Amino acid sequence: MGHDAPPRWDRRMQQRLAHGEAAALGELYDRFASLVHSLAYRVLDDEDAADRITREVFSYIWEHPDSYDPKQGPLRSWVAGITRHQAVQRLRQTEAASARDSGANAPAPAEMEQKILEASTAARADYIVTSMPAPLRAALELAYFQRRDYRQTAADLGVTEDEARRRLRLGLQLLSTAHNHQALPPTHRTTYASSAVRATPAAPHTSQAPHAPRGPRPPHAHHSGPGSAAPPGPGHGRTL
Amino acid sequence: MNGPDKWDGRELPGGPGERPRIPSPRSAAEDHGPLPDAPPAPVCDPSSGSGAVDSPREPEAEPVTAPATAPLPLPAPAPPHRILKSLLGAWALSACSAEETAAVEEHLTDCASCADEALRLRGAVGLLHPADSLDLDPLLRSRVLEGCLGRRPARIPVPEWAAPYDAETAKLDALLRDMGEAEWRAPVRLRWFEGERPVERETTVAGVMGHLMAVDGLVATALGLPDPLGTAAPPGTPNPLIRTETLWRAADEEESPLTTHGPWRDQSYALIRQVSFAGGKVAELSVPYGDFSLALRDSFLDRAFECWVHAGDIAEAVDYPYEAPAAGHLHRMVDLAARLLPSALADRRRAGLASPPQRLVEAGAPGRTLHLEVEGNGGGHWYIALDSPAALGTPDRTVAHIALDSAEFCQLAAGHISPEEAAAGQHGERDAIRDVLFATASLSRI
Repeated sequence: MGHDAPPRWDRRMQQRLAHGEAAALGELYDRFASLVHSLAYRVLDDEDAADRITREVFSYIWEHPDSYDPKQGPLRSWVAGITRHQAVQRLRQTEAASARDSGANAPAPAEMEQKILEASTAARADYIVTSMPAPLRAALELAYFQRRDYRQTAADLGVTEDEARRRLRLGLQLLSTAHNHQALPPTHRTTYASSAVRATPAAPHTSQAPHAPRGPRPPHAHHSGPGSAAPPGPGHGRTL
Repeated sequence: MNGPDKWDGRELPGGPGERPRIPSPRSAAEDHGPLPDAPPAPVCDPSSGSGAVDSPREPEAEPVTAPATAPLPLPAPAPPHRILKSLLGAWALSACSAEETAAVEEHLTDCASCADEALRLRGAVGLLHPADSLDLDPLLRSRVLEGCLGRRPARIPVPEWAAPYDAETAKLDALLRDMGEAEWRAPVRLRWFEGERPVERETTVAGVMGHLMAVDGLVATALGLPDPLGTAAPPGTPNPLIRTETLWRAADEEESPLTTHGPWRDQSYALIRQVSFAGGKVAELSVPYGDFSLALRDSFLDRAFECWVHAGDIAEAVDYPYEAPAAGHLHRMVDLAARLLPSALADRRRAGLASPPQRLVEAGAPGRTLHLEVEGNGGGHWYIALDSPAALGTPDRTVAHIALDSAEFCQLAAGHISPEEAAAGQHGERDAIRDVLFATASLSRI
């Protein structure tokens, strides 16, 4: 629902938040809370932890609305980027803490990195699925979850078999870009942009695609003005 | 790993480098059985070793792959590269025919660009994940917002008397977003209490939303916002029932019932925003409801209560769970009902439905009192003046005592249970108790 908001909504929301309008904060929550919570849950696999991340993410946005730059992309992807960042940081902390507790039985650092990378990729993939054009998502839904073959998928969607094949392939191509990133480095102090690869997954296919998908965008950098905010997280002097 | 733009644009058939190992097909989303549409695996003649020998797979590979490796009766000429490439997505999802699967896999042994993409797409399939049906805790919203406002106070806060309306509309909005079109058409029975008897009206979920929007519209117009009924708004004294029926008549049967969702939500957002900017200046503004009126701050509480009650009707109709308001909000709603009781009693007395006052009391002077004790979430103690709305209810003039649970009290005030059925602990003057219970039920309306 949220991802098709016109950019105007994003800009206006930012202005209202910057203006200190509490009603705007409520509207922001209503639009993005389930996205934020589900991404955090995908990374952390724990409901209470996902609740905490949800609080952190909205606090961050409310305290730093100016760090969103509407020119860089939709608010939704910025929010998703902050969420993934916060959740992965939290996972890293809890993994490190449990490794300390288990002493000699602790998993190897590489194993831990792998787990963190996988969790981060899973969250990215979820975001891509919710943001991809509805026709692609519908085709994947039928072929994967309903186990329809592509001919049945074409019939269900009322499109040609060629088109069904194209949608399945394009949908998976978009999804595969979830792998195009690295998990956040352990001592992450830079802006959100550093964790992201500028992927433009739809580019190779735009000529054939009637609905060129807006590819998932990475979250982007803060404004570098004097009011520039430090990123949230443990490097920030707060105990989480 | 290659970038996303690397697999396309280069369509060299074959190329240097080894054929990447293609992971075995995904297992089922919900089980590990064969695809329902997969043809049964042909029985291989043990004397002919062809087929399985060529397979790079382990013998315990999924049964789905068996047709691909089995000998085909009449090997058709391989489809061109262009077609095979277009099949890669379907192949990765195991969503093509056995012949196509075999042709794709054959092709992958000598086309590096397709093999590369195949590997990548199959990896992507592993990222598909059923959406979680985790419902957000409705109370998380206020915790999150409080946390935010604690760190950076709002320059334009939502007035505290509008907070219950904000919370209840958000909760109903979340319920509606989970509902499909069929559920919007689910029948709902609206129940309320008129005079001495319960009445009811059949509508649908969409009809309930139209009703909420039409009556919220009274508050909107009092604040200078547009009337959701537009030019169809009935002239004369505003009346919630007439407005609702007007909106129902105007509803287009052909239209999707979901079309009420957006306008209802936009209006509730606009109301909250409007009172945020107007602040305390509008709190006492009078909102006319026809035969009575409420101060704006109370009309927001009333609308929050109605939103909760009707959301409960909707949730029941579509069999979803629905949470009661937060204790603090519930307390304010009960408080509003308790404050309205003396004038509701007076109305019933005028209509000959309640016993006459036993003596006249000067305005502002203490009079005979009923102690209303509401237990549980949002509860408290209220002292209801029995003689006249102008009299003062006080503990030391108590002639009767009612104790009931807050949920029960709200059900009674919503007209969902009758005064005779209300499970209330009671002692003292029986007429006073009966009058107050009936007056509580008479607060309900459509």
